[in-house]
Amino acid sequence: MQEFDVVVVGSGATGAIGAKTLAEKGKNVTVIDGGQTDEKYNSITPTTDWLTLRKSDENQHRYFLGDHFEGIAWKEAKVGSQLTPARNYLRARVEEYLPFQSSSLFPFESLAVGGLGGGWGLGCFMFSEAELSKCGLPYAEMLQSYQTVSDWIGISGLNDDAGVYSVGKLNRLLPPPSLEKAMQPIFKKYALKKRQLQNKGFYLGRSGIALLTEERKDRNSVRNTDMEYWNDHDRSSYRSWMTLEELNTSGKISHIKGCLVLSFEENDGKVFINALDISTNQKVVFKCNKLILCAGVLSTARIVLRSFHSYNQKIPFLCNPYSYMPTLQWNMFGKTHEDRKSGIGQAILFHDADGSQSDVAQAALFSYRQLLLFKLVKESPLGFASGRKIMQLLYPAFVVAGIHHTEERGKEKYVELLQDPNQRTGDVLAGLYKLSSDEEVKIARREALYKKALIQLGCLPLRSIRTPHGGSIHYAGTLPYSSKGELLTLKPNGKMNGTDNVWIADGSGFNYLPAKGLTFTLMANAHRVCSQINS
Amino acid sequence: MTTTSEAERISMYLIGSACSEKIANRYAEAVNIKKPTISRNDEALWHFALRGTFNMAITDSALALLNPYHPIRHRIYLMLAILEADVAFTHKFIAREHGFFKAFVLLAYSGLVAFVQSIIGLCVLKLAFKKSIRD
Repeated sequence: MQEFDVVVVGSGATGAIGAKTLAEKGKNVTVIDGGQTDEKYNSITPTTDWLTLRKSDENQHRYFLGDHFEGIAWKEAKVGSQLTPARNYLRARVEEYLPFQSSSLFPFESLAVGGLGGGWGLGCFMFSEAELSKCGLPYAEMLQSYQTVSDWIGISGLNDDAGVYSVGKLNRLLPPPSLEKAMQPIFKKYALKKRQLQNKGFYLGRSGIALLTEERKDRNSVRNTDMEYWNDHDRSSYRSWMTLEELNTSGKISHIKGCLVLSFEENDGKVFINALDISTNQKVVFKCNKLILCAGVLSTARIVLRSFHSYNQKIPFLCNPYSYMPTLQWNMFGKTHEDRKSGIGQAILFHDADGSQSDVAQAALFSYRQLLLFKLVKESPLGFASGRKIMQLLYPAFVVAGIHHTEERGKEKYVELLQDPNQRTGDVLAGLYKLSSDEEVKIARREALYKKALIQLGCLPLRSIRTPHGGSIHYAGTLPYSSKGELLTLKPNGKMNGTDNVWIADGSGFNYLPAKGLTFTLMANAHRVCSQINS
Repeated sequence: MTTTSEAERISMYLIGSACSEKIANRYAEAVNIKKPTISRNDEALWHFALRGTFNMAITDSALALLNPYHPIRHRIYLMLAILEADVAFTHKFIAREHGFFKAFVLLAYSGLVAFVQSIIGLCVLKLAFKKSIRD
């Protein structure tokens, strides 16, 4: 039986940062993850820019459509079915090893090296003091952790009107990428109508994003190839696997890939980890002094529920409701996007009705670039030939608003582990998710306000599309922070109640989910939790 | 009709020009993998659509409203994606600078054509191909 000092389960955003935090403290760290990687598409995607390769690369069909045409989703409604072929590895083997059963909840999980961080949209947002308090997170500690993580991964952004809601409080911010042509009229309109919009609680600014705009020794500044959805060749976009690679190369961690952790037991001051080798389906057992779970909220829930034999026990589940609103910006009609720009994280529109920063919604605004037209044509109620012609004319004028809403616990928002001998793991995680009527009304009202604000910014909303529950890929709250010490809860420092040497450093403990992008806060929390772990 | 011959007809409909043998083979491969099966009830409609560009236009336009996920549309969609991801036809998908007025005229014309095709298609399908338009 292999024996380790500190084991971190999961290598996504929280696992990578947690492992780095522990390694920097001089701990002997082993990371265990599901080990799935892209074996094919990243190596065949060229380093040239989007427009050049569209016009010249004879092999583009391979990485745009996939060798098995997996990039041409038809009826699939599952979250993740629109992944590009190069990112499809994120969902490899998930149905087999992380089964989930629900008619109302459709989460997206991953067994990839680097976890869901491999497909992160890069948006970085600091939660306010009020929001952190609702989550159960300490403000002063989190401020420090936000800064440390920012220094590690590199964040670009501005302390502008929206800075207080995103990354305005960070020091050493990198300058934001240059503003693309499609966004310039929106900012001009905002400047003209600022007072009106701010009186209604709307604040527009540049997103904080984990994108380098200055060189670092191991990563390049953004090259503006407009290929961020397809590859990470220039390494300007931060991905969790980059931290793992850095730690592996420097010998600061050992890394066990292709193992699914099932459960743990504590005995005589040690933690025994029961796992499944994915390549052989053989069970393996590891022993360690301390166990840190960063497997993602749902996977961590499975591990904990198995470990405590808590089958058929409902635990809470939080997931931000998410809609997107395609709009038409007439200023861009008849024009084209400029070449060689990055479309990532250009603008963000926050709604804070009373200015208290305690109930803030966010809409990320992005243009339709570095994406293929056929997917857009499918969304129109037209024959494909007419649709092609019309969308070819319209798409530079499209601005899509991706709107996240806040999330609180509810009676009909839970998951539970059910025994199922037909599954490889012997069980299946099931869930129910239903918004209350008050929540539905609040969401509808907010989206109506966003529509009006977007019109004022020169963007005509066409429709509002609510994604299936789980579509935000922001999950939390299954093992809430509690000082009372009950089972299936966490102490405020992240230690699992009822254990001596098990910590949880992902979002499982959060008691509330602000509407803001979650990943940066998850990373900061992982740093916070792991900083406190001593031998 | 073979799958590769289908590819040529669909290409004529979608972009107004025939496709190469390479593209046609790629379409055949996609149909083989994705399996958008044309049922017995749909065969007559599919043969009707394959007769010519106009037939395919009215069929596709009507199905877009009546049954957007019809297997016939799936086949056309596969071809659309394959054409877009080919160097020879990139110019048919990437935006061009027209200026507001010209773009508006082109949009209005395309919109009118789409509308007329939808109306004709709806009439033809509802009268002659009722079985095919059910889910």
